[in-house]
Amino acid sequence: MNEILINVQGLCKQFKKSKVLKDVSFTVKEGMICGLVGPNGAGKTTIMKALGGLIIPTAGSIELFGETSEKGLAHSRSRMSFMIEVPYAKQSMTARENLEKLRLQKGLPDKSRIDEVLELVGLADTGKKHVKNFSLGMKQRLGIAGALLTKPELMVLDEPVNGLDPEGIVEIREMLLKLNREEHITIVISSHILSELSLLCSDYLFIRHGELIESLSAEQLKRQCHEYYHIRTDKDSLVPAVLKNTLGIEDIEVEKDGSVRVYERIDELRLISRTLYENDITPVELHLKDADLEQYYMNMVGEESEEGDKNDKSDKGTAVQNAS
Amino acid sequence: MINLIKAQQYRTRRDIASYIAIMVGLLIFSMTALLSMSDEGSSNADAGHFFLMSAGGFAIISSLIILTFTGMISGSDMLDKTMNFEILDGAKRSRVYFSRFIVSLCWGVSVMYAVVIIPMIVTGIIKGWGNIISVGQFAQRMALLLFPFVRITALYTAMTFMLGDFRAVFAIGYILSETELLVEFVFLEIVKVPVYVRSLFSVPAVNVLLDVNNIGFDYVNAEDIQVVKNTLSASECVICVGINIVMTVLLLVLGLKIFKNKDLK
Repeated sequence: MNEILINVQGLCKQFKKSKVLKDVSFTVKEGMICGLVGPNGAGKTTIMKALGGLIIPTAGSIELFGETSEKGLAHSRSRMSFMIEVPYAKQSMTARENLEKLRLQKGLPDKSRIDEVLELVGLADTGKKHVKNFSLGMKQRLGIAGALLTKPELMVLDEPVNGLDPEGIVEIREMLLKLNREEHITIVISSHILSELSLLCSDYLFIRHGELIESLSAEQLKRQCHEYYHIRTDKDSLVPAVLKNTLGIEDIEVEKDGSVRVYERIDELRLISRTLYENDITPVELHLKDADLEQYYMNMVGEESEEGDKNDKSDKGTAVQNAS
Repeated sequence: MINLIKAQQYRTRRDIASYIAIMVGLLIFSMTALLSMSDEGSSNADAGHFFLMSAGGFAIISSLIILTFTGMISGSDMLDKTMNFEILDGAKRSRVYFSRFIVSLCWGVSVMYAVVIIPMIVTGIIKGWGNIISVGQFAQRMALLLFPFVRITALYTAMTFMLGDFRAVFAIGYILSETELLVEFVFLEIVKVPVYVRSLFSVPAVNVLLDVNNIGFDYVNAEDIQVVKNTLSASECVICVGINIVMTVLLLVLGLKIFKNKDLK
């Protein structure tokens, strides 16, 4: 049975007259990779800070590893690691010195762990370079190294791939997946790169204006993001009528560019293809697609994504080529 | 808390600013004393005279040295948010607070004593101790000064945790110290201020226990020589020390209470 590691009930936070969190409740179970999804200012970082004890909630309760008392929460946090906002590091010290300070603070006897985590995040060769001369990506890696120093049971990461190059993003993603699968580390992560979250998370919490508007698993998200056929032909305007009259398909959507989305009979690709040909319509594109996390999120909150990539997830079916 | 202290000591030892502060403190203190002694003439330049001449700057220099180290140890960690790590690691806020107070105390007080004692030892080796103040009386004064030093550390620790910005604390601390010194100087010229009143303020409390204002003459070895005469009675000494202890506790409790309810950036 998966233990509940985080149980937040009715969490509220008010800064002066501004309500930053409004009655947020959620749980995180052992083994999850839980993504916090929301625009800037939604309250994701505030939630993480509340979990870490950096801010005092105005109302509500936080339970970590079953503990709610001040002493219990402090003990629970020693089983966790956090990386919130810009990684905290002494600018006038090197990466190794910063990790050594952390090691002393955490009471870890094993000095070799520092070499291990520096190697893991790709900072083993920084030598005597001070953190103030690090790039943002290097500082992020150092933050992740700090989070990994103790082999925690639960990691809370606020935009860990911020500032990393594409290679770095893939490295961190694969490392987090490996930590989750092999070391059974539960992860709570926020990111603006929704496509990255969709490759990582088993569960999602959608936050907007300080409120939790939805929580669902990756499986539930997949069901909600309906699969459909994307059809483009030489006679797009005829397609809906042909499919309705011949095959009785009613659940059809025509896009702005004239292409057609068919949400029914999605396991009958050959039938649809043959029907079109028999009606003298030549398909140019015919493949199975589904809406990804970004589209689901955009539909839910009705806002522009900050990421430039608007492409749907890659095809699952076979593209039908032009017969001629 | 031991681990927190170890980490903070490690960080402070690696900060070049720590050593700059020591050198600057030593330089300023020594220069102040040497300049004062040059007015007296080089024949009186023994360790006892060095102590007497430097005593005027004791209170303000001790305040600034302690302020510097408290600012570095507590303030800069709040500013760059590295203090947050300790809370995120599961350290209770009280441990974060008191560990920093202890480390600030160790560095500030150690440096202050070093800044005073090292020049005196050097002068003593070169010119001898002299008769103006005995070693025992000097040691007694140094030991008593620990109480206002601890209280000053508590004041600046509490202020740093309350304000969260050591630059503001440094500015306020500097103005406060200078104001206390000036007010004490002005009032003492006009009225006799009771010891318990002077002890309520950090800088005057140092001057109370330093007790070097009464210079008289003693007949030693068939010779009339200048000596520092004690003006502080045992009861007044106890009152001053007691007030410093109470103020230390009050300041630490106030600072902790505010820090416990403070949202960290």
